[in-house]
Amino acid sequence: MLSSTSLAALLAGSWRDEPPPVRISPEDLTQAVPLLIGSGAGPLAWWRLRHSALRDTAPAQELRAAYRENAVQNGLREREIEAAVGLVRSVGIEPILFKGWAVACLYPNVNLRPLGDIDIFIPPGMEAVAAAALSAAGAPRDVDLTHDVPGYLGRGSWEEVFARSQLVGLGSSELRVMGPEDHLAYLCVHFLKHGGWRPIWLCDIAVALETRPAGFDWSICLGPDPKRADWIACALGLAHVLLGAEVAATPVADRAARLPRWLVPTILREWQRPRVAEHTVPPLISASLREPAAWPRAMRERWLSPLDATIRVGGAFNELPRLPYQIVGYALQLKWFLQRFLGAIRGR
Amino acid sequence: MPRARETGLVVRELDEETVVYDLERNEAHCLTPAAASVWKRCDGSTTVSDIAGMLRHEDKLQVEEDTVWAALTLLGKLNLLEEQVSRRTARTMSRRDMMRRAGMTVGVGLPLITSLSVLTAQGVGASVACIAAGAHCDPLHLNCCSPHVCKTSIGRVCNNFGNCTCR
Repeated sequence: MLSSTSLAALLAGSWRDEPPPVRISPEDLTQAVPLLIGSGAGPLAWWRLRHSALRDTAPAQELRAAYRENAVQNGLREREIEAAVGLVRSVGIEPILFKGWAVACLYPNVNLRPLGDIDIFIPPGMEAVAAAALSAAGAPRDVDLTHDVPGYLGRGSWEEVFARSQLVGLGSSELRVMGPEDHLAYLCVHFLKHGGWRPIWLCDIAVALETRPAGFDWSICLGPDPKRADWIACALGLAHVLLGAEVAATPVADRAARLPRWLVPTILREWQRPRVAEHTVPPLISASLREPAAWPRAMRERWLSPLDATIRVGGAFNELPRLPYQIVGYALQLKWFLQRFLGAIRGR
Repeated sequence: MPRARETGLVVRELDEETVVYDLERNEAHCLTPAAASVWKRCDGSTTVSDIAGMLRHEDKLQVEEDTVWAALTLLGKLNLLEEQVSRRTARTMSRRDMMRRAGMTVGVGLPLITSLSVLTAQGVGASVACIAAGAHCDPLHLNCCSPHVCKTSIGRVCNNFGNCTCR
């Protein structure tokens, strides 16, 4: 089985105009292809290989095909994005796009990254109005309006995020995207909160870091909360250690060189299952209640990784053992389940 | 004078080629830079001779009028032009022969246009049956029937006892 270290090596620098030369055996590339395509990183891997001696091999051509297909998918999705933004604007709301297309624009070619769903940040309290506008017009699927960006980042307000946002051209429109400081912070926190299992998310962090504009304000990006700032610094450190993202001349360079010892192995373990299809939600606990034989598996599926647990508990990225965090995180899940379960019973 | 079709197409410029997806026929094609240059200049008023001249002088491509005709005939057969154009000598040629001649004329031994069977087989853009409200869904494929979405949160737990359900 291909090691996740090899996967990381293949994606290192892939977001640059001219990625560094790649060294991978044809056999390893063959094993890597389904993992790359399944995780949405196929186009990026082709971008890395396109000038190499492997470009005409069958596995490389599979990656090229993934790039072409992604290009078409992105073309269709861009129409939906433009339409969705137009609908929200038609009811007097100015939406801010982030992740997806907003980060794909940072790559050398927007087709190097799948666009995914349409993440939109709108003023608090306006979700119902925007949702109604989208629904009434038979809106594109997968428009996600429910984002509390300041809450996610632990700082700021809608007005502050809006003030730093920027307009980017798409077709005949100009769409508003999150400002670089807020976007980089969001991408880092998002990566950590989702357990870091998808390699392309770390590539997103790397490209957002390396394409940051002159005058990038690190105090805004890292924010006033030391713990959250350290989370962001560690995410950037992961992009440096695993993918070679440049952190020199940034305030996080020192932290990148001394990440907690459990963090990199945790990510590499997650990258052994990088495909989207490997991260579906486990079956309902309630579905397992009548089958005691299914309980061990149900419980095992909900055991949190060291990273998941640390984030869930709001812990620090230090050298303390992660097991206590994992136990507390598990207990919090159980508490949540019992509250919902008992609430449902009382509601009957 | 040939005119490029503009409607019903998704056109994506990549670094080495241009991918064109025909929404009406569910077909995808890869155009080399030469073929893309020819297609881009099909504005309904530029002659074939002028197109060949532009390719030589502006794009620095060593092409003859024959190559442009071959590309135009192929573009027409692939429904990428408003109307098919053909030269008498090319009228009876098969699509494969046309592609081969076009490649040989250019001198690179590669076809100007490649149709992508992978994309057409998978039906890019074709509608996929959506998942009804309340059913299990994949949060990262997000394929619930509108207006529902497949939601997830930390620990991938959504509403109502943990399943990621459409809402």
